[in-house]
Amino acid sequence: MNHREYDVLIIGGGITGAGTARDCARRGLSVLLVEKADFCNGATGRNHGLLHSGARYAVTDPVSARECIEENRILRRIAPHCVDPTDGFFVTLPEDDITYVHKFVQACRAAGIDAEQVDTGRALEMEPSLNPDITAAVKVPDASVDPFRLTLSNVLDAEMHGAETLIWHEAVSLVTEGGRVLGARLRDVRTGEEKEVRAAVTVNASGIWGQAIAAMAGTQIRMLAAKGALLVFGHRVNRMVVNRCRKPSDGDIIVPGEVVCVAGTTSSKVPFEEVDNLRVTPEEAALLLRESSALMPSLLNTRVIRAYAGVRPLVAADDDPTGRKTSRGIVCLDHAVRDGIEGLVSITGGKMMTYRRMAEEAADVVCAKLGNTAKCDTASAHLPLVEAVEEQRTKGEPLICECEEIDRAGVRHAVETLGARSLGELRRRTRLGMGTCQGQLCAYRAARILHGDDAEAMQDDLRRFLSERWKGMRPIAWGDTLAEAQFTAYIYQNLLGLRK
Amino acid sequence: MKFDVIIIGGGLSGLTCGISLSSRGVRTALVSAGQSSLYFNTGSFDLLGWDAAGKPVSEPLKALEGIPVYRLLSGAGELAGRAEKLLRDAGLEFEGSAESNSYRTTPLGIRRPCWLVLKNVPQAVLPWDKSGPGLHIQQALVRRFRSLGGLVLVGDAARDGKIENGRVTGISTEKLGSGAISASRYVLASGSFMNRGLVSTAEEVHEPVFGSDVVSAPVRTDLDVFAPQPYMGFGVATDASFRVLKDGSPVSNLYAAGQILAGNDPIKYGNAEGVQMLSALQVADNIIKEAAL
Ligand SMILES: Cc1cc2nc3c(=O)[nH]c(=O)nc-3n(C[C@H](O)[C@H](O)[C@H](O)COP(=O)(O)OP(=O)(O)OC[C@H]3O[C@@H](n4cnc5c(N)ncnc54)[C@H](O)[C@@H]3O)c2cc1C
Repeated sequence: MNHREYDVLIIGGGITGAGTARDCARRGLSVLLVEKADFCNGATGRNHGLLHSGARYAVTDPVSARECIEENRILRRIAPHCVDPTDGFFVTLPEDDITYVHKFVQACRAAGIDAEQVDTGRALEMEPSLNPDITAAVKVPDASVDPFRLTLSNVLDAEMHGAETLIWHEAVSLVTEGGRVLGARLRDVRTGEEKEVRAAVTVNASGIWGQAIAAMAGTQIRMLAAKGALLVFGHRVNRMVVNRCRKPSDGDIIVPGEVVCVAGTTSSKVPFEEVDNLRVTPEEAALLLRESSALMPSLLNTRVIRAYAGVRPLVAADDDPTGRKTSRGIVCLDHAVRDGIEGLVSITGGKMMTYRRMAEEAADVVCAKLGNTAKCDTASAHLPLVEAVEEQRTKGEPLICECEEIDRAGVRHAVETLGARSLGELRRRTRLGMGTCQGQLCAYRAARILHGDDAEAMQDDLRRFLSERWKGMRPIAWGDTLAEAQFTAYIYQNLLGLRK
Repeated sequence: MKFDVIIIGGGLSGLTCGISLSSRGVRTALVSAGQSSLYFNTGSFDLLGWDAAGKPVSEPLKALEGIPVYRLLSGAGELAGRAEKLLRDAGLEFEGSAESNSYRTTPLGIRRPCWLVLKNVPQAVLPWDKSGPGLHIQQALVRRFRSLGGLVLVGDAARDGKIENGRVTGISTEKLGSGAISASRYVLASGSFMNRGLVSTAEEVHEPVFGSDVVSAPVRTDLDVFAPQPYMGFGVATDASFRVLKDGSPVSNLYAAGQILAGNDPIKYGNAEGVQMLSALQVADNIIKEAAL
């Protein structure tokens, strides 16, 4: 039982909740962060990993573009361990409107983004995977960011500043009294046990699920769930981020990430009931392959190792009853002002890479309510490392995950410092199984370390792991991926005897 | 070089077929690309672990009837006995028999039925450890095949099979090129997708050496990873004597054996090694009979 009252209860362990927890904790507030699954369960664990320069939005949404470039610069500084400073290209294909390039460069510059048109020959030297037929190339300060590391760094820093965190705990209702939110009832989703926690302010940082939290308080945030599908390719084909230079559209971004690269994305509205169980369709996979290979032809000969999808929480503008007009910008709602409900703040919209600014806005509102006058320092304070450092590494022992170079000490570190208890949690804390082999072999090795002699726990964990992995392989069950799926089934289901 | 039979695929089905043929004086060559699932064997063989309803089988011989591939055999029981003898003759010792399944405990602590458990083999640290039992079995079978006069082309892959007037007239290999080796008869024992015996694109499934007719279905997969997966049963179409079909008609001198045969799901039935060995022995018998070699 948790009888103490917190200054702030934050619902949602995505990047927004983690960043808000960090910001509030650093300002001296007592914080409880709750997440119904594991950290990065929502959009944060299912996106592109692009540290936008803002260029993508420069023409259509200059406000967002400016936010992006400012946060881009900050994250490079405070989280160098999460950012791979690749730079990026916006390239024009023969079928694209070449006059757009000029408009694009102008808009970037107006937003403060360093955009530089590069001779196509030079661009091909810098990024040999580009389609040689490109007619223009503009270099921008895009980069690759690791969403998992970034989120866990924020969680860890929050904890280092006294925050408490609870994963696998879902807020099932809000505790309200006389138009005030006093906290929430939490359910431990693994045991079914419920308890009440109280806080002076509750922050709704639940992404697309935020509309359900608002409903618990008796108000409404109208959101549209826009699903985006992505494909992971089996090696890092491009050095730099590659974008298509046109109005934002389907399948026009390819981001390198560690040993792989990720192509996306699509946009289709899905019913709210589907957001906990998103599936990529074979048609989406085909579209992404077609569009991304137009930018980088060698992708056609590269193995697709996984397909996944996330939802963007698009918030309908409050002044538009049709709900069609949505904002892609940051939405920070003080429900006392908006709805007369004291003690509840919602923070959503924006992007992963603008999370710090979103957290700052939310923490400012929280602090104002609590009379806390501490200044936000998250733009200058470095984020802590989450992985085992060199001295902790196991010497002379075989690696557990070869693709991501994770050794026994790395696994132990994730267990001890970051609380990993299962293969899924380990994957989100170490990237184990995210590389080319997709955990085919390392899952078994890691499961032995995680579960020791508890055979049943090991079997259950591997069953969940295989189901999760299959979900990502099924839409692309052809070529080498089908062959690998069969091999995995042969190893785990036949040799190791894992059946339903 | 001219042979009586060329076998494509160096896994358990290819080696079984090769040993059976060469022990009866048939000049046999085997082209092995090295994608065999035998490497990953953990030291046990399956004949039939579960029936069609998913119930564990205790007496496999009594339950073979109606099981894919087995139903095309002339006397599965007798073939199973011959498979056991073939392994013993190759110097492999084991416990168990086709009469009744034994049980083994997997490294995950799961007990599951199996046919034979090898004795005196190095234990695998990990199931995919190539220095473990799988390699030991593979080497014993290759030694046996060679001692009977068989030729193994290691690390080579067959391609560009030519079929004219319903007969295979030649193949190429990756290393030797075209026409360097030929035979009167060919056996396709190149396995399933994981062994590259079958290849798929998003649109179709094909058998890459001869372009044999393939049995497949538009729906390849089931939502549940633990449910039977349709793609497991994809494979080349054959007639009742395991002759491969092409454009609907049997190719008179091309046979298929093992996992490349259509219709079987080795995971659902727990019958991978049984299907590999028994179909390979059957093909060897069919070749001997039809060729009166
Ligand atoms: C396809 C796609 C690609 C994208 N690419 C990029 C990109 O390249 N760069 C970028 O910056 N942004 C990108 N974005 C946007 C970015 O992913 C999101 O803006 C960001 O991750 C949102 O984070 P969040 O923490 O607000 O929401 P989420 O990550 O969705 O977190 C909400 C969390 O709340 C939890 N939760 C929900 N209900 C409850 C409850 N009742 N109790 C407890 N916990 C609860 C959920 O489990 C979830 O973990 C992309 C989005 C999509 C869909």
